[in-house]
Amino acid sequence: MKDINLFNLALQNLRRKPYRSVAIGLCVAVMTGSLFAATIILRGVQTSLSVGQARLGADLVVVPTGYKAPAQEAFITGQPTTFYMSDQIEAQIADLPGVAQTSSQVFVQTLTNASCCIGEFFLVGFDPQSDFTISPWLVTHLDGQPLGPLDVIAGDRILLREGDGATFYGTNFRIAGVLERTGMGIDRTIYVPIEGLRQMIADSAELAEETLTIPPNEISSVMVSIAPGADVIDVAEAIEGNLSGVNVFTASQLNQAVARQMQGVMGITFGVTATLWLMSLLLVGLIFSLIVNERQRELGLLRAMGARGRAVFQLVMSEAGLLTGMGGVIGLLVSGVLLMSFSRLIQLRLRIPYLLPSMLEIIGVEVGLLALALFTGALASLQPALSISRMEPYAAVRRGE
Amino acid sequence: MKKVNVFGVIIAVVGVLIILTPVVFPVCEGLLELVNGKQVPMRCNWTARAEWIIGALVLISGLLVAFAKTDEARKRLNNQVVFLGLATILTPLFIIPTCMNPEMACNIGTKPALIILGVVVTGLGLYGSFLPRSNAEVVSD
Repeated sequence: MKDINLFNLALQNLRRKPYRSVAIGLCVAVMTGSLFAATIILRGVQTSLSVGQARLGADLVVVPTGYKAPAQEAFITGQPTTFYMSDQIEAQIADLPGVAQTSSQVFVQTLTNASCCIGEFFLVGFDPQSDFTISPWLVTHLDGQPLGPLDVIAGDRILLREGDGATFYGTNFRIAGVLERTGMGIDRTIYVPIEGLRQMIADSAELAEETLTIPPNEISSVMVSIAPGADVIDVAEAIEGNLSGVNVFTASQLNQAVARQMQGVMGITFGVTATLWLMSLLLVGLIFSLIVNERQRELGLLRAMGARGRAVFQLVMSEAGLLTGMGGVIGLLVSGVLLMSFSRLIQLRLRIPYLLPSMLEIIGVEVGLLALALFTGALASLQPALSISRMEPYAAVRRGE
Repeated sequence: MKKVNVFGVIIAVVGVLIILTPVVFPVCEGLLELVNGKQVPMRCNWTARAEWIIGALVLISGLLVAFAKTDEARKRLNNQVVFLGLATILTPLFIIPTCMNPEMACNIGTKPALIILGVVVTGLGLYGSFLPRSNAEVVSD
């Protein structure tokens, strides 16, 4: 026979009304689960943006007029886009005050039936002599070994591994390294030394199914690093003011672009979750008030047999805590499984950068939300628990009859 | 009065969800061109078809569990549900695997959904197989 303690007694009381218990538990589970999912997605976007910006390495990105939005989209989601401008622009930017370093890039889109990989990817030609975005990575990961013209660096989502071969527009390349996952467009980008890219463009007429017609004096973007002490916005304005036909965006504007994308979805999610929390609070409060009324006789008899008011209070609070705690755990578990399983789908549908936050952070969020679930139960059942614990045993038995 | 096993009803509902999975999370739509020029659907298309059949079997088994007259029959049916749950999980993983590229539609939506539903079916079947009869949940119709 089981010992009669507070926990067993509370558990047995919950088992007596399984459907009611399941309904309350589900309500709390949905509330906790959706709050967990919304928080982790938001933190995942922030993690991805900070890792992606560090990888981007530039303070400013200069693109031809009218291509600011597609370029931002390309950096965020990896959606390939191509546009070109004269390479003279790089030299003009380098002459402006406040500019420390510049490096040009050329964008090419892979064909959908590229022999290596399914889908369209971004080929970015970079100049190893002036580059300051990929080169620091080469120093730390490839011991600073210089890349050959046909050695390329691939993003994590391309599914190519170091040493693999890949053919683009008929030219064979070798994967010299794979970048760490960022959750941003960089993951779907292949960085090619400009010499190799120009060779690929020239040979495409003979070797490729589709000829590339990018003149050798054209570039797609200029990455700009500003001098210490210079203001990013001032330099950006100077570039747009002094050069015609270009648009500039800062690394922080990528954040704003993502924030705009997220605003609607996250606003609705947090709104619905807040409403759910309020509803859970009211529902648990209402049901526990009914439970206490319904069980006045039983709780009165318990008091008459010697149980103190505090014990009755603890019993009601334990039932609420057990119910909301179990609901919270189930909600967190289900939400965690769904989030892990469908993270890529969520990322693609919402068109957001996403990188799972650290395990420590996830555990922190889980503990916080579990505490919120328990607090909801405690807050909602506080009044009914107090009223029954203060009632005289005789009055409780009589009123419960 | 006739009794309906509530777990049987839940199993039947999950069976419907398995059938609906390739509709809600569609598999890859493209066609593969063979060397001889013939175009064939991608292999995840066959995964989806197999899961429709498994889903239908889960649905039927669930209904049989719900309306089974004896505990012994219910237990045997639950054993069958366990195997169907395992089949739901193993089909997109090993039996008829989905496409190789983890970025494709079948791998980011259909496969995880089927695995989760398969785990639920297996769990329900195991619960029904090993649950002591005195604790079995029954509702009256």
